[in-house]
Amino acid sequence: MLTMNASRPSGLLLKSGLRLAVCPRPVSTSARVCKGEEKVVRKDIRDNPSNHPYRPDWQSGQYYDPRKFKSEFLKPKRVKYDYEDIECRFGTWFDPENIGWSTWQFKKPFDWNNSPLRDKWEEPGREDKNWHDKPVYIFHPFTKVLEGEKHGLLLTKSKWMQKEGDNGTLPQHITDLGDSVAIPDQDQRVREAILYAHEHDTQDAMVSRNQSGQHVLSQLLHMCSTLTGQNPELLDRRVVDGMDVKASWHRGDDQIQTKGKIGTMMLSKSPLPPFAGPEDIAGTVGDELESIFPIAPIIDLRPANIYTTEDHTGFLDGYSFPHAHTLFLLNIDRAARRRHMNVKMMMFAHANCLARARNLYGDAEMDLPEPITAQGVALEDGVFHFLAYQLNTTKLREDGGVKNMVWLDCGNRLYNYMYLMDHAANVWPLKKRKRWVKTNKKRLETGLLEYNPDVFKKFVGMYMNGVATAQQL
Amino acid sequence: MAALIQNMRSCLVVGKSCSFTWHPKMLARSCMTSVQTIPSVDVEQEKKPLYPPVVPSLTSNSEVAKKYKRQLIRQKIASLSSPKDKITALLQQNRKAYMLYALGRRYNVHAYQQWVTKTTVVKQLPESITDVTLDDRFEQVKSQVMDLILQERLYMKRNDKKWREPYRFGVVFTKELARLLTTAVSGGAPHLATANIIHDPKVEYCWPHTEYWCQLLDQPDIQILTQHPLPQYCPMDSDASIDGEIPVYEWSPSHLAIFERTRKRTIFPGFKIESPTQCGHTQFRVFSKDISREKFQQDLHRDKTGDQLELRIMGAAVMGLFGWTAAQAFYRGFTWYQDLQYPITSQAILTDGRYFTFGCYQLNTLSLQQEDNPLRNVLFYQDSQPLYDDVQDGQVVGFNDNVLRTLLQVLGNRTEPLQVEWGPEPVPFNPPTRFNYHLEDTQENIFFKQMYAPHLRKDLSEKRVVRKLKNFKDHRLGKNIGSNVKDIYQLDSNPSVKKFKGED
Repeated sequence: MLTMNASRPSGLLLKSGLRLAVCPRPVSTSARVCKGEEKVVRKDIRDNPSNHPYRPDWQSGQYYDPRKFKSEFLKPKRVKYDYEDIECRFGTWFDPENIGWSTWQFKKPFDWNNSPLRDKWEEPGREDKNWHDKPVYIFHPFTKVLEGEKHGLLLTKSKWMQKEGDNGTLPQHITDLGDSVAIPDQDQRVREAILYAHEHDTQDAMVSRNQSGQHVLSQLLHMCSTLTGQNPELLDRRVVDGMDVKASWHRGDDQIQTKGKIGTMMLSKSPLPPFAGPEDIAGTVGDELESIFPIAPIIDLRPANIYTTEDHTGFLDGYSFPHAHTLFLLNIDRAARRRHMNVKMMMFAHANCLARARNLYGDAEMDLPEPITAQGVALEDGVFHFLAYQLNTTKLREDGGVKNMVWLDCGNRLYNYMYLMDHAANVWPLKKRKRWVKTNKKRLETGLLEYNPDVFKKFVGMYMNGVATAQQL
Repeated sequence: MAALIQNMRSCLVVGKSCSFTWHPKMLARSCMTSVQTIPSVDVEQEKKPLYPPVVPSLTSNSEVAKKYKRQLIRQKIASLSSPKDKITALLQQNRKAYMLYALGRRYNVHAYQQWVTKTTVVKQLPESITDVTLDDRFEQVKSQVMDLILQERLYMKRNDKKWREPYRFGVVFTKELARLLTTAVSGGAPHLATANIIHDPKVEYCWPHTEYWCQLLDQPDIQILTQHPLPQYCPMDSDASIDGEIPVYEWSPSHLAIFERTRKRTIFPGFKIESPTQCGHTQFRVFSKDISREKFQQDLHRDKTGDQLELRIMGAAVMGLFGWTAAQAFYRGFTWYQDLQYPITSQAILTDGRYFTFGCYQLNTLSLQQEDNPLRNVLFYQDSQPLYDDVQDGQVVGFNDNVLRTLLQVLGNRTEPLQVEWGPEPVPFNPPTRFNYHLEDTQENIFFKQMYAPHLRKDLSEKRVVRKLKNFKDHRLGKNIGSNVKDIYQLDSNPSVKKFKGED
């Protein structure tokens, strides 16, 4: 049999690293069909390689290139039976074109990609009705920009307010609001929600990050919604999954578009009040945006020539909850880092505000008489990032003038969940005394660790913003 | 077997030529045992038995011994204190079981679903639901719900084609509706304020039916868990629970495209037993487009099977609620062999986004394998009604207040802390003792000791004990414990004897 044993390769090893396989010696020839008294011997390639119809020169013990095994040995074989030797059997017929007995031949499996039946896909070009010669640069939910927050600020022409080093804080009244609102058994219930999401949800040993994140988010929202009893205004909120947003603007000479599906969004009947007053807005004129030279700001955005520039906020006109309140982003992109989440939140909040501003004040570029605001919460694996965004101007072409405002508070770890695992298999081996050793590192603590109740207070503060102020409560 | 023959004894004549007689050996054996195992009460009180009861051997494979062993195992499992251990112990073996899903796929499958869950259907919601009073915010909630309908049918601009499909519409709409209603109701209903709302949980339950095993695999869309259970809808000895009608389906379920598979048996109500919220309140279940009303209307013209849609929805309510409620009963410590002492209830809302169907389930019994069990489970059921007729010109047409009212009543059905004990009565595990060194010197244990522990016998002379000990091999140690013993006074210091007694 012409088979190769992968575990103990035979044949000739060349210096170049190539291996030549050896043709096996023939096995005993098979006697197949009996007719009368005589034994009829049929030649079979499986018995001897030299029985190959096209390569009778192959001999046993000869070397061949195993990479060519397929092309050499498995060509479609046409066997012509001698009609003296064999009667017409099942699957055998007399083919006048071949002038002899024929049988079904081996064929390659049908490949749709190579078949002539397939329509060739051509990239749509200039004939498309939405073709523009100048490309737009698209920021979609899976975009990961190079320079992180700095990059996002540059794209949205914003200033990071209350920045402290690498991180920042939220506007004071949101944190105050969060501190003053209390849900009964708050900590206990948050702990239970987290435990449920990671432990009680399934019969399996672990729960995936997406699933647990989804559950934690929905449970926290449910807990906040129980405040409706004290604050009936909360009935004017609506939480919607799978919202779309799309907006495009010019930054310098480049047109930038943000579009895609955001995770969950809370909408409200009345707009959020602005975070900063007119003095602060006027104060941003003097500030300069941080440059990322020599990198162009459009790096990592996807250029496209076929596009439309209309913008929409995800619903039609006349909808009774037209104002975006908070954006909830669940990180489903394993490659996305903290900075990418922040930029994504910033860009989508910006796009939503911009679309609403254009709805209100028209397409003309202007400093807005009344700023438009949105909030954002991004979470991944127990870490929450909070954003407050205020759109002050739609004059985004030039770097000068009034800037938009961003408050970011990132890296708030609500909890850390450790699963009990046999960790030995996952440890990277280290070399010790000429050997690769896997040290068995047992996790000392498992379960819900590092629970931080302050993070949920911030969450509640963002939820209650627009309904009440800390003084009222 | 023995009990059966005992009951039939008057009819049995050995050697009479009839179509069937018992084998004489079998008869003799069963008569012997049955005579011994039925002691009269006054005799029992007068004198204690001289010897331990004769029980079948634990190493035998005879029918009786097998039955005895099974009984011992069940008794042992029933005596376990933690429900988790009980479930683990009961589900040790993999078995062939019929795989059941909540939604049946064949004509009149609801009859089988009722039969296999032993459920009787009452076509009316219970009084405790219809008596729930709604607060004055009904109009506000109504306008919110109408807004929600308009939002999902009209205003949302979603690029994706798949959002427009009826299944997706139903799921999205129902999730939003559940979110809205729990928010709206939670002000007046404290049980919803502390509830746990779970999306897409997995519910699995297996049970022995009369002749075979069943395994339910289910995934409702939303379930609401509360801290305290719902009260019962009707007492356990009411008419519906005792005399309710159940269709009989004694053919093979494979006629209904229900097939057997060997699989791990599981009991899981959607949460682990350590979860703080242990009681199911309401389940939301959304039907996909493959049992849409349009399709069944076509069938109505073609096959005259138009009522099948309602029946299938009812069957889904039966299966889904039975599995969910019974799995919760297991978490409270009841099993198929320790039946419920009080009923357990839960509710379901079944919808395709427009039509709403309500079911309230009362689980009265878990032991469906038991043929003389008079108890039935009860489903209170209301046929489907549309929440609204259509959306025209940006307005909701034909909004049905009754449906919304029932929705709010079902969600607002108050939970109550249990008055009785949570689980079943504890069962002691005292099997008839076989030989054990640690036994006291009662009369029956002296009998054992004479047989198995000669070195503990006081009536034998020293030499005889030593002689006996030479030949006494203990299988647990694998050697003769008395091989080095010269006289019996060495026995206290003999290490193997110590080890044998468990003193080491």
